[in-house]
Parts: sequence; C-alpha cells; structure tokens
Amino acid sequence: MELILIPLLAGLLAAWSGKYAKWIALAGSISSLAFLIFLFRGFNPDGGFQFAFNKPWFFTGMHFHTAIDGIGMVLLLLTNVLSPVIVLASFGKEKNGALLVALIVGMQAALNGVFMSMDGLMFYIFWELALIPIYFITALWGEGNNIFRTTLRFFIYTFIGSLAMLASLIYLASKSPNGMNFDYQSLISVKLSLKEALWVGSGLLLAFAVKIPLMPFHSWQPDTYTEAPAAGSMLLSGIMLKMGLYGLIRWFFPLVPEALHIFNPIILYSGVAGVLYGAFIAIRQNDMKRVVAFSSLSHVGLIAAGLATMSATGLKGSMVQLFSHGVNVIGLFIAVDIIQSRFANRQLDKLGGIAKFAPVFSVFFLILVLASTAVPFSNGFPGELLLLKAIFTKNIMLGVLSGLTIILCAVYMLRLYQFSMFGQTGENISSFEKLKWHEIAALGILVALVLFFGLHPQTLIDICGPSVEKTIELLSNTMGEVK
Amino acid sequence: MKTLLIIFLGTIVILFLGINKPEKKSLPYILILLLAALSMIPFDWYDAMTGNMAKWQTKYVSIKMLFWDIPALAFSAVLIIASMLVFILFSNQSRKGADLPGLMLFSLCGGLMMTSFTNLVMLFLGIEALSIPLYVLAGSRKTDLRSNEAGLKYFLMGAFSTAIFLLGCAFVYGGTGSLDIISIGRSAGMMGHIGVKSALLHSGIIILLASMLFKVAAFPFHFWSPDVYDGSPNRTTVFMATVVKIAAFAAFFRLFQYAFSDIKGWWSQSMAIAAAATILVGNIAAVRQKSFKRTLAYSSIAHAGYMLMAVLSAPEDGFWALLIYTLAYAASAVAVFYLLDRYGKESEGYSFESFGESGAGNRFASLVLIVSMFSMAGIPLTAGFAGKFMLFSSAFAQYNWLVGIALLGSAISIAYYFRIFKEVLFKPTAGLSAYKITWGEYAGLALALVLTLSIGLWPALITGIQTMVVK
Repeated sequence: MELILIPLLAGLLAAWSGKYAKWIALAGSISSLAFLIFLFRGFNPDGGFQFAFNKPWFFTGMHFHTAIDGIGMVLLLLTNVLSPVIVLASFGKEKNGALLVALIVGMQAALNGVFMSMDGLMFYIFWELALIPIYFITALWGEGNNIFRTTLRFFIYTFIGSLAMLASLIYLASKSPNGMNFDYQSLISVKLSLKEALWVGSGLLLAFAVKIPLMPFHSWQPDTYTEAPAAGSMLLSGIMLKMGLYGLIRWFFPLVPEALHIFNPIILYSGVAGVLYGAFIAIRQNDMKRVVAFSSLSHVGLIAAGLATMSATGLKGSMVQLFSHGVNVIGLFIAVDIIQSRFANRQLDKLGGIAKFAPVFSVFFLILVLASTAVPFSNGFPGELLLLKAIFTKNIMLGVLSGLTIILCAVYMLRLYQFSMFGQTGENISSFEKLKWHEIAALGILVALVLFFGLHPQTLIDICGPSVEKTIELLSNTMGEVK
Repeated sequence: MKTLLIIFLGTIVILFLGINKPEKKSLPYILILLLAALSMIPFDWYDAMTGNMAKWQTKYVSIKMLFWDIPALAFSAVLIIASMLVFILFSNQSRKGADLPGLMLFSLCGGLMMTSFTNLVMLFLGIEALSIPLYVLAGSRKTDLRSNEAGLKYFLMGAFSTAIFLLGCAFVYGGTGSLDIISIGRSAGMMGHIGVKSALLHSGIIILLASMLFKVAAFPFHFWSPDVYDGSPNRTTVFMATVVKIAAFAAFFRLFQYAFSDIKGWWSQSMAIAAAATILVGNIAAVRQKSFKRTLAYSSIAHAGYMLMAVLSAPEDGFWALLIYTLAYAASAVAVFYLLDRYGKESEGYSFESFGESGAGNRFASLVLIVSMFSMAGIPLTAGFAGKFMLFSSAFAQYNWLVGIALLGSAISIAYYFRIFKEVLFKPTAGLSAYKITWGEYAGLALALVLTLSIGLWPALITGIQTMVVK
C-alpha cells in the first residue's frame, strides 16, 4: 500500500514544485526503496503471500488487495532499485524536467501496484495506469518526426491487449460461484472447459505478448525504443516489459492451466524465434539504440521461452534473468544516452575512438556490455545458464537454437562496443566532457548490481525459489486434473 | 415534482428579469434556480427510499402520469448537474435578453418529464417540450447558414421521428388497451405468459424502438446528428450532446425496462445489433474526421451505442451502470466542448490543425482536457472507466459478443481521442495563454474534474447512495 502511495505523492508534489522537483522525485523514489527494504527485512521467503492489505474498493467483488510473495518481491526490488537510477539518469534533462521526473516516479507507483495486486481488476487498473506516464514521457520528450504516430501505435497495441485481458478477467470473474469476484484466489479456483480456457487464455496472452513483446506482436517495439527519450526507453525495456513476463507467471499460467499444453509450445517457439530474430537484426543495426532494442527483444524471448518450459529451473532462471536484464539494459541505455548527449550522435559508423578520451566511462560501459553478453561472474550469466538448461531438457533442438544466443549476443554487443569506443576516431570527437556526478552514481549503482548478482545469484533464487516451486506445484495439480 | 415546478416557474421569472439585460447578468439567477431544484432531490429521494422502497415497481398506481422514483430522481439530478455545467462554462455570451437560456431551461423541463413519466402521453409531451426549444436553439444564429441548416434539419427529422413515435404509441395502445407503462407491462407479460402474440403490440414495440433510436442518434438512425451538432452553436451542441441525450436515454431505459421487459426476447436481439452497429459506426467514422467538433459528434454516437447496453441488461445493474456512465459522460463532454469553444477556431470549422496555436497555454485547462479525454476513452481511475466497466459487466452475461465489439470500439476510440493531444499538447506553441479563463469557468472546469476523478476513484460514492439513505 505504502509502496504505491509514497511515489505517487512524490510524483504529484514534484509536478508542481519547479526546480526542486528532481530532488523531491529522487527522495520519493528512494524512500519507496527504503520502505521496501524495511519490508524485506521482515519478509519470509516461504512462498506465501505476505504483507496483505485488503479493503473493498470500487465495485462489489473488487478489492484493493495487495500482497507480496517471492516472485513479486524480486520485481518490486527491480522496480524500486531501478527507478531512482532512472531519475538520476534524467537529472540532466532541461526541458520540462519537473514533469519528466514526476512522471517517472508516478510510473514507479503504478508498477509497484502491478506487482502487488492480488485482485484481477486492480491488476488491470494498475496495468493501464502504468501505460499513461510512459505514453506522455515518450510523446513529449521523444525525438524524431513520427513520434506521435509511434507512440500512438504503441498505445493502441497495448490498449487492445489490455482490453482483451479485461474481457478475459470479466469472464473469469463472472464464472465464480457467488457473483462477480475478482479476487486472485477465487479467479484461480475457477474451472474452465478447454474451449473456454483457450478463449480466456488468448485474451490474457495477447496482453502479455504485446507487452513482452513476443514474436508476432513486437513491431511496435524497436521504433518506440528508438524514438523514446532515454528515460522512456529505460522504463519500457527495464521494467515495463517485465510486467508482461510477470503477468505470464503470476496470472496467465495459474488462471488457464487447462489450456497450457496448447499455449506453452506456442510461447516456447515464438520465444526462441524472437531470440534468433532479435539477434540477427541487432547485428546489422547502425543506430546504437536500435542495437540495444533488438538485443532486448532477443533476451526477452529467451526469458519467455524459459517460462514456458514450466520447470523449476526455467522459472528460477527467468526470475534471475528478469532482474539482470533490467539492470543491464538500463545501463546500456544510459551509456548510449551519455554518448548521445556528448556527441549529438549515436550512429555507429560516425562514432569511434571514444575510449581514448573517456577512460572511466569506457570501463563502466565495458562491464555492462560484458554483463549483457553473459560473461561468467556478471549477472547475465547465471540466469542464462539456468534458462538454457531448462530449454535443453525440454527440447534439444530448441536448446541448441537458443544456445546460439551466446555467440550472437557476443557479436552484436562487442560490435556495439568496438565501433563506438575503439577504432578510428569519428568526426567531431576530440574530447569527452567529464562524467557528471549523477551519471557516475547511476552507472556505479548498476555496475555494483552487475557484480553483486554475478558473484552471488543465489540471493535472488533464495527470495523467489519457494514461490516458484509453489506455483509449479499448483500448476501440476490443476494440469493433472484436466488430463 | 418539486424540481420540475421550481424550474418551470423560475424560468418564467428569469425570462422577465432578463429583458434588455446582457445574458451574463441572468446567469446567477439561473444557477440559484438550478441549485434550488437540485437541493430538492435528496428530500424526494429520502421519501422514495423510506416510504415506498418495497413497492419500487408497483407504486405507480397512486399518481397517474408522472412518478418520481429512484431512477427518475437520479437521472433528474444528472440532467440538472449537466445543465449547470453547461451554464457555468458557456456563460460568456454577449447577447441581450434571457431568451436562449430560458429556452434551454424549458427544454430541461421536458427532459425532467422524460425521466419520470409513467404514461406514454407524458413521454410524448416531454419529448415535445424538450425538442421544440431545441429547434429554435439549433437555428439561433440567424445569419449563419450552417446554423439555419442545422435547425431545419433537426426540426424535420425530429418532427418525423415524433410522428413515428406516436404511431408506435397508437399500436401499443391497440395491443394492450393502455397507455400506462405499468399496465402495458402487465398485459404484455400476461400475453407472453399465455403465449398470445399480439401483432399490434409487437409491431408497436419495433416502431417505438425505431423512434427512440432516432432520438438518441443510434444506428441506423444516426445520420442527422453529426450535421446538426456541427452546425449548431457550441452551447446548443453541448446541450444536445449531454442533457438531451441523457434525457432520451433515461426515457428509453424507463420505457423498455418497465413496459416491455417481460417480452425482452422480442426486441432485445435487434437492439443488441443496433448497439453493436452504433458502436462500430460511431467509432470508425470518428477516426476519419478532420474537424474536432464532428469527431466529438461521432464519438457521441459511439457513446450512445455503449449506453444502449444498459437498456439491454437487467434493470438494477443497468440502471446504476447507466447512471454512472451518463454522469461521467456529461462531466467530460461539457469540459471538452468548452475547451473546443475556447481553443478551436470556428472559421476553420474546428479542424484539428486549428488548435495548435492556442493550446497548452493553460496548465489547468490541459489537465482537464487530458482527464476528460481519458474518461471518454475509458482509461481506469476516471469516471468513464467505472461507467464502461459497469455497463460491460452488466451486459456480459447475455451479450458477450456485444461486449467484445464494445471493447474493440474503445480501442478504436483511442485513435481519435488522443489525436487532439497531438495538437494541443505536443506542438511547440507560439501564442501561450491566448485566452484568459475566468474564475467562474475555473470553477466549472474544477467541478467537472472533481466529478470525473471522484467517481473514477470511488464509484461507490454513487452506487452507495442507496444503502446510505436507508441507514
């Protein structure tokens, strides 16, 4: 509850407070993190839902019900650790800075709401609310001539998905024995026939697949990432697309276990297709942001495929990789933004040789690049290992195909680094303005996270492990019933 | 009853008070009048709840023609609130005399009769009392050709549909032997029960359905509305889009739920198809418009399609859903039309491009615009979402395909609701704050904003009234 209120109030305050806005937003964002850590100290990773807050809200059958379990905790940690970083990274933005940071912390509030909702309708409401700040961030601060078209396309895509999800949720809620009831436990316990489950599941899957984005629904993504401002790309790729993956694991699987034997292969195949497609396209890109955008498509495909294996390894790997991907991709976007703000350019063929002038920056950037490439001892490694293992056990062919990601990722990531930082000095590059304190702080936090979770990934697995096992247990029970 | 009398008598007084004075001068009297009328509603409500709650449906016997039960009182309140918003926000009229606001108030009286009729004759009188002032209002800019066209078109179409309505009444009378909606309902139910099919009654219902669809501007009888909305002066347009439409829906709901609900099987399918077509036609046509005013006209057609779902659902659910939806729609539509009036250029026909130069001048106005647009599009935590959600979930049990189409329609509507943002918010603006907003208008916008957000955050404010009064 407080996790929603603190950033929300900070956002409202910041929107009207002019030049102190940055500090208010940062303070709000960090105090939300502090509150989460306070909760975390009392958190018992046994797989149950904790810190429940339940009050009737809105309509009969709908409650303001928040609770946290291991899976939610990982995503809350991700959101609340990264939001201050994003606020820090956008400290330098001059134009309407107050509104920008206000929207970022507002987004944090909505995302916290998504990850804590224990009520179908509340989940939908926060899911939509998270869309609104990002719409304005992208549309108001975006670059490019087509920015309005791009954001509108993004909005309509996701809105259609969400409406389909709403229809599915209403259907499920109306099926519950005593009148409309949107409570999570009651939604889970609804039994559907295979045909119903296919319909309901398609609605839910549409919402999540657009958000993730899974292969055929990805066409909004590269343009939006490229044309969005840095903060927008970070929010979108770092946290927002995790909403889709979280939706799969928390809502989709438990709500329609009856049809999972049909849906899961689809997710698995389209995930692996996304892995290869994203990687191959990323290799050919010239725009640094597009490289990162397609690499994100590729990584997320792997996570979705891992989820669809429905094995404990796969799910744990996904949780670890969710977290690491968030950290890494935000780091990469910050690095690209720093380069762009210095040289007003992010085309690989016009950059080069920056490392000579920027030793500190190049170290940060290198660590982030290596982490994305999943080098051992960086945070990208353990998650990817678990995911690949899970996919291998499920299907050797797909395992081999998705294993290619290690090679391909190295190709495009190192290409990104090499062409920008080494080689011949590009035009107009003769010096590198020193990193500002807030840039160092943002990069420093991220690099610290990379190293910490690279060396000790067990922390995350300890948090989410029991919840993951509980979910799988629940699913294997209900899936068994149908067969 | 008190509300209707207060407004009717008060309007006569205001007409005399306003002679030869600028129209602005009579605004305070109008507001006092409307507030007085509004303040009567809680008392009536209390009577209706405590005294006769149990006989909600059967009480009509005591007073023959008009009866103020809960739905009637609730919709009367919505009508009065909507008219207040219109009067506050469109107060800046330079004309002399109080005749135009007087006509609007008389039209409101007709609307109040339409919310509370129990007899088809009274419904007919209500429709006439509502429409005749509107014919004048639509053509009230005598030198403007488009306004003349709107007035004439509205008059011809309105007269035509009223004639059809009368024909329907005659058929229903022939079929059931009564004009009282409860007796009609009773005989219709009886006929359904013993399996007699009365051709007169059934064709009468279809004719009534057609004329009511005409009044609310729903497919296939929606063609008049974009032209009339576009040609009329802004204040008349917003009055038609909110007060008139809500009154028509209140009457529609009352007529079909009370009189014909026992033979729902006969008309519900055709109405569901009409609703689906209205939603699709309204939304798709709105996307292609160049003028923001016409876009809003088509969007109000789409809204009529959503509201038809309330007539199709179970009475209790449908009533609360329609109430919330109309309130949400009134608040946001009036605010949006106000901004169109202020920021748009009439000379360019309110085309989207003409908004660029003056928008974003006022932060508060922009906020109201965003929230109202969100509410119309049905984004959560605005009243529009609460209304849509209640409509959809109440109709879901029987018409899930219709809900699917309605969801699709909402998705399409994003395309045109957000289009105005591009012009008003995202364009670099040269002439900032081209218009000063007066305090009264601030208050009006704030009222609309508070309504939209408070219902959006807590719909139980409205739906909880029922239980609150009983305690």
